[in-house]
Amino acid sequence: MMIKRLKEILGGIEGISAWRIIDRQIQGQELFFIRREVDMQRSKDVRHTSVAVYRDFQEGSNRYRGSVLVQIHPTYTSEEIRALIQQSLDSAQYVRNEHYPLVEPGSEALEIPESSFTAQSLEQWLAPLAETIYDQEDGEDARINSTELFLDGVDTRIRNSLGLDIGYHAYEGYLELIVESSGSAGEVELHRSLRFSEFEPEALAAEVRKQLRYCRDRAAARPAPHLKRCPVLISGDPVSDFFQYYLTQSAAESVYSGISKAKVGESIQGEEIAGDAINLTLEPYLKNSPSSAPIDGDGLALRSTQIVEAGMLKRYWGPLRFCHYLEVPPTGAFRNFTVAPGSKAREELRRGAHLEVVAFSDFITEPLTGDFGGEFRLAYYSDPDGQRYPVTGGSVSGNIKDVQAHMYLSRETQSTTGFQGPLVIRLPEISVAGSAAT
Amino acid sequence: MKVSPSTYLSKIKKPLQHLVQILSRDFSYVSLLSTDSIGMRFSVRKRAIDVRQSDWCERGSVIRVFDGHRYFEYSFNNLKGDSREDIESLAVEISRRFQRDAAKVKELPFTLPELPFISEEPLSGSWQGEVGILADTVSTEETTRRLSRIKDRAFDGSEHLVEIEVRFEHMRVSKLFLSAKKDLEQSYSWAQGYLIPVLRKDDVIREMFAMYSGLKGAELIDEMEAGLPETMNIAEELLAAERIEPGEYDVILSPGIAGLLAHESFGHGVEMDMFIKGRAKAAEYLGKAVASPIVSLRDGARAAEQTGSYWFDDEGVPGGNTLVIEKGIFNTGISDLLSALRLGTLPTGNGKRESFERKTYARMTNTFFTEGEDSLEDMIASVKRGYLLEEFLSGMEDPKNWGIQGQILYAREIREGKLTGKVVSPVFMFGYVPDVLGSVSMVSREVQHFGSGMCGKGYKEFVKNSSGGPYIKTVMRLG
Repeated sequence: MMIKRLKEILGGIEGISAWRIIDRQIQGQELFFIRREVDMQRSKDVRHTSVAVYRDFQEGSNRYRGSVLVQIHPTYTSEEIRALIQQSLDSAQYVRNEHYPLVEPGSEALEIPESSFTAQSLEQWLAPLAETIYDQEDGEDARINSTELFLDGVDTRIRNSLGLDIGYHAYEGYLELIVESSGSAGEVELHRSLRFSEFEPEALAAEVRKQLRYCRDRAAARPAPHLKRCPVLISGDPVSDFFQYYLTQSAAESVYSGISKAKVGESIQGEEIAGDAINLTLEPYLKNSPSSAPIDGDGLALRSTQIVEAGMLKRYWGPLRFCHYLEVPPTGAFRNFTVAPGSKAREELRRGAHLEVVAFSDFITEPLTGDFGGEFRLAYYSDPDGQRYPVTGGSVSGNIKDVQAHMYLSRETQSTTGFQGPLVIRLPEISVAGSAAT
Repeated sequence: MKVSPSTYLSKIKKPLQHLVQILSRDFSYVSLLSTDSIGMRFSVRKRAIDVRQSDWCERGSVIRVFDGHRYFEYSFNNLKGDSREDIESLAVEISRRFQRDAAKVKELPFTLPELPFISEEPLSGSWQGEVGILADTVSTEETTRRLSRIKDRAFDGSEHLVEIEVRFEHMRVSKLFLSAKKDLEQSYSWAQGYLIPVLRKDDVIREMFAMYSGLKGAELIDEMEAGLPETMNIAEELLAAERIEPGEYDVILSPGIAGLLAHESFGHGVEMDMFIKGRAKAAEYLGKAVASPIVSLRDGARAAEQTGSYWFDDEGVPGGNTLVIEKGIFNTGISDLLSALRLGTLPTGNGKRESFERKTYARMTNTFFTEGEDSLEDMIASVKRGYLLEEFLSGMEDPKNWGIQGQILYAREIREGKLTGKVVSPVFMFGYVPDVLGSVSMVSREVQHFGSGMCGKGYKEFVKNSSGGPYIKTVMRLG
């Protein structure tokens, strides 16, 4: 009803060159626990509709397409919507962007496999999810402090004035897990955020057990030594964060704006790669990834697309607009990607003195400059004598451009939010600051 | 200029009061928060302009009820009608939903707590903020023209500039809180702006951030325009920046970095919902020394005029002005209503939601170190070997273990009491909160507040707030 009314209003206003509507209907269930106690239950039923209004104009021989994006709340009256659209149209004439096309209807979108969450209602999933999480407490000296569990069912539909009308249903699950333990380092905790789109109890249980183990180790960890420079292994979500640098460098928008100088057919990983060369592919669907989608935000059908092969940039990627500007075939805007496993087993990567960081406070990669770093809450230090022990409270920092030619990726793989790829990256010597008293 | 209230909220107020009344027959406590917040974001770059509604826009409601044992919430934004019949039908639907939810929760194989009842004192009122120039009265033509002029001036003045984003965003926030004893309305505006130039020289590429914010309107663009030359000068300096040698240094925190320290140490660290979970080490230090005697810290929606300001929070509690640390002693935390009930303390007006769709947590508002008695010149002169830390990028809290991490865009080297002209970038700063605050040896006289950006709880629940302080001299690990 709402969309019909909106389309009628858009059709009734003179001067609109094109439009695109994104409509998301979300039903959600949320449970909040403090230890094993249910602190609160919440639910939601909301709808978010946005409209992009396009206005084409010409100055000399240059064609422009201005646009303004606005939200149409379900409680807007027809008069409010009309006024907002008219105002957007008036504003769009001052948004002087090079002309670009909208997505044409007709291309077939990938069939996304049905999630296991479709088997029963959202609220019925909260109990098995919560039980899976809490069943991993083993009575030992690490336990769950608190959790927040969200499960949303999301219907997305994208329409445009060219007749495109395409949609999909997805699930977005989220777990915030806080675990705690006591030991020689006092009372400690670790924080883990996990996104998921499938009921995969084994994977969920394994993650909870891993966090409990890490927390126990953090409680027994020594202050990190002052290493100055040391080979560093990173694992988990920071591996995905690290590769964001290559996604930014290869994005059509970055090249168009001039912030990236990456060239197709040239190495994106620097000269003379002595370690593992990266192979990076964009994927519309990854199992258990809430970022999976058959289409992007313009409604463009997404297909598996390799971007980097053996360290060489194969193609730019991005939404229709920026690919059009660069005169390259549009790939669409993806939210999932994979990196092929590397040449060495994790145990090989652990050879020699090194620091293996498994929990950062917040690992940061600057995708423009390649700077990365962060404080770690838990790492394992293998000293030159071959002793390996947990350490906490240090930090690592470096720049991707300095390490990319000599980094190694593990053969073992992992799946995190929107990413499948190596479990571990071994970086050559980078800066490591410690916290141990000197 | 006065910020006008939401006509939508005015229109639905009576029907919503009726909804609260009907639901009160089934539940001993019912409250409702409705929002209607609107604003625009303008972004001008070298070859692209983007105009869209701000991501902070929202229009919807959340209802909280108490069933005699526990609290339940339901968020929705599809109020199908506001006639008496529509509201009565909605009340039946919502009541059934809560009863179904309560029954489901009882089936869970987990402990169910008996929570205290929210006992409110009567309070009603309506508040409107004021700004210099209401940003939504300025045309898109005028706004984009002014932002484009800033962009053009940046390119005119720099041979190394590759790209610059000139961004301006404004919001008019309107909220209505209703319960059996409360009837509160507020409307206020904030604005924020960014200058983000990207410079390249040979193979070196650097990005600079300059941020502007306040309970302001279009007048903020004047500040952005005035700040451009300094921003570009610093960006040029960054091209020659080196990496820092990791280690422990005497540091002078700029007011922005002092704000980051306030925020991540005794901001997140004293959010009292963390006390209930046993996640805040600060809970053990109430009434005890946690900082040097020259350190005091405040938080409160009414403690400063910035983007963390409001008259009442998302639970209908008046905004506060809390002295968290007084002369080095931890005085009190900051609290939402439900946490205060459970702890037997008073709420401090810090119950905030990301939007009507999300849960309330204890959150910061305007958090800042108060002024001291030193001058920046004396502070620099007192440092033998250290850094003046400038421009924060991000930070992360660790309330249980009192760790602090911050990412700093750049720092200026100090040797033998003088700035050497050497710049290092980027810089990660780390420390153990009691050590960092206990080592504070000098505090400057003027406090500045910074309210651009957003604050998460963990890795989600993003809200607006501000942080700040004077220049602060302490000792930290840098890497």
